[in-house]
Amino acid sequence: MHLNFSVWLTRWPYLLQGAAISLEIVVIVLLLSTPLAMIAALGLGATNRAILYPMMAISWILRGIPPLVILFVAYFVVPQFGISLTPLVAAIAGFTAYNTLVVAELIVAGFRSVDPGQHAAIAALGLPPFRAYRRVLLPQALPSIIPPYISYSTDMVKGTALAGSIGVLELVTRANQVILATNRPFEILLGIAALYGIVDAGLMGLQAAAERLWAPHARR
Amino acid sequence: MLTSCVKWAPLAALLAFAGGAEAQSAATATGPQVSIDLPKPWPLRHLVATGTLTIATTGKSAGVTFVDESGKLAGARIDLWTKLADDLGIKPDFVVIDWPGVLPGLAANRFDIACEGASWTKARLASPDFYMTRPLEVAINVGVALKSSGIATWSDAAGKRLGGVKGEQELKDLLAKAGAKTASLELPGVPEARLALLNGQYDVYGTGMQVAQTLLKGEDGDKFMILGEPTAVDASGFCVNKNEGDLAQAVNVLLAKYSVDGTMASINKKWDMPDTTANLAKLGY
Repeated sequence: MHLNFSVWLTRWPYLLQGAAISLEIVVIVLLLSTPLAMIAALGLGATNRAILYPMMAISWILRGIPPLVILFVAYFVVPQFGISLTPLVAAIAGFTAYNTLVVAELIVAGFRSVDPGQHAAIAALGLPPFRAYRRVLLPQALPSIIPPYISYSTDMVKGTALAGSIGVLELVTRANQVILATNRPFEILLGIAALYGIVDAGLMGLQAAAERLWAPHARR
Repeated sequence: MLTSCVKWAPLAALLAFAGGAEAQSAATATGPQVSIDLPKPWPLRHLVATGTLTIATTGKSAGVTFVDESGKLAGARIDLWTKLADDLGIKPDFVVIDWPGVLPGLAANRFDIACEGASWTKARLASPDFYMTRPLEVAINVGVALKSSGIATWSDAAGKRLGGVKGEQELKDLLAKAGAKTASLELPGVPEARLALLNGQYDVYGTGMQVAQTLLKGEDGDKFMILGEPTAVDASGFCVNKNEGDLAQAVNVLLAKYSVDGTMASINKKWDMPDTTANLAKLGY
């Protein structure tokens, strides 16, 4: 197999624009879904069954449906109800819906990992709930939440390729178009794999730094 | 309301039809000049976005709809749609989406018009989800195989692995031709289908003649061959949103005009596409 990467000399601006769109989706979805996930986590961790059961049902549905189907619903089905979203907005909405519940489960798991004795201590001290969460529970839960959160974000970067199925010109869709126009599949695929690798390497570096920061010995 | 009239331009022709002998002779020599007054902008009431022709295209068919070096959509259908939008008095807006999403998107009222050239089939012509326009071309569907596979005729292809782009009529025609019930591999687009054939992941690729010829002209083209007999010869046209009968009518009028005034031939020539006007006439178009 003879590789000729000169195809990138003329096509790189178009492909980098695709990478920028993929990153834009990831950043916006994380910015939207993280605070929403915190709220959803409160529902999933609630002791009140009137809140807990509906939240569990929503979580079960959204996490059980493949993200591709959620994107199709956002782009093809939602307009039937009079709300017409552009491909990019539909992709962001679809990914945010899915991501919110996945991250919410991570947050709930993180809080459940905190020693139950801490709750008893909080009660004994009579700390207000918000302060107890911010000063006692959250610092202990974060080491369990951050690594899977960043790991999941890494998966999300790759998952943005699904947005191409509803007309978003993200990196993989553009790569396919360039492959068609140039018939140089291997050079293009290797190139975009490297681009994904660079973005994911950044996130993995962030994950390693976060793990060091919140490691038990670092918190002493 | 569509307003059109036929103008008998030369006075001589008018007199000829009125019975003047000399004028009749002049009219016979040149024929009456016929022109049609078309509205501009067309009063299209149900567009997905007002003032815009929202067009779904795969952007994955060389010469037909693809992304050029500058990153812009180009090709024969892009030119034709742009011309259509211009003559309708509205702006074109292209949405690039894979073929499996095109017809669902049309049914979901996301696009006004779509399909680079969808084969006329009974199911599509009778579909409640979209209109099919008058044919743009006579579509010849073929099977493509690797020369090294030893498959040269359809009898050689019996029992072999068949594949193509999922949902395409070209793949269905291949299965029908080979007497197979299911495909071995269905892929999202032409680039993937080409690569899978090149890798030997299936043996015969069902596609259109235009795509097949592009494969033969492109990288590794000398490794491919088109099986002698086509899988199907049919007509193909655009698909129009089911809510937009007025658009379907307008597009049909303009396509007829383009086939007569040479616009279609000129676009096809520019992109090295076969001109099938003569064959379309056999279908009454």
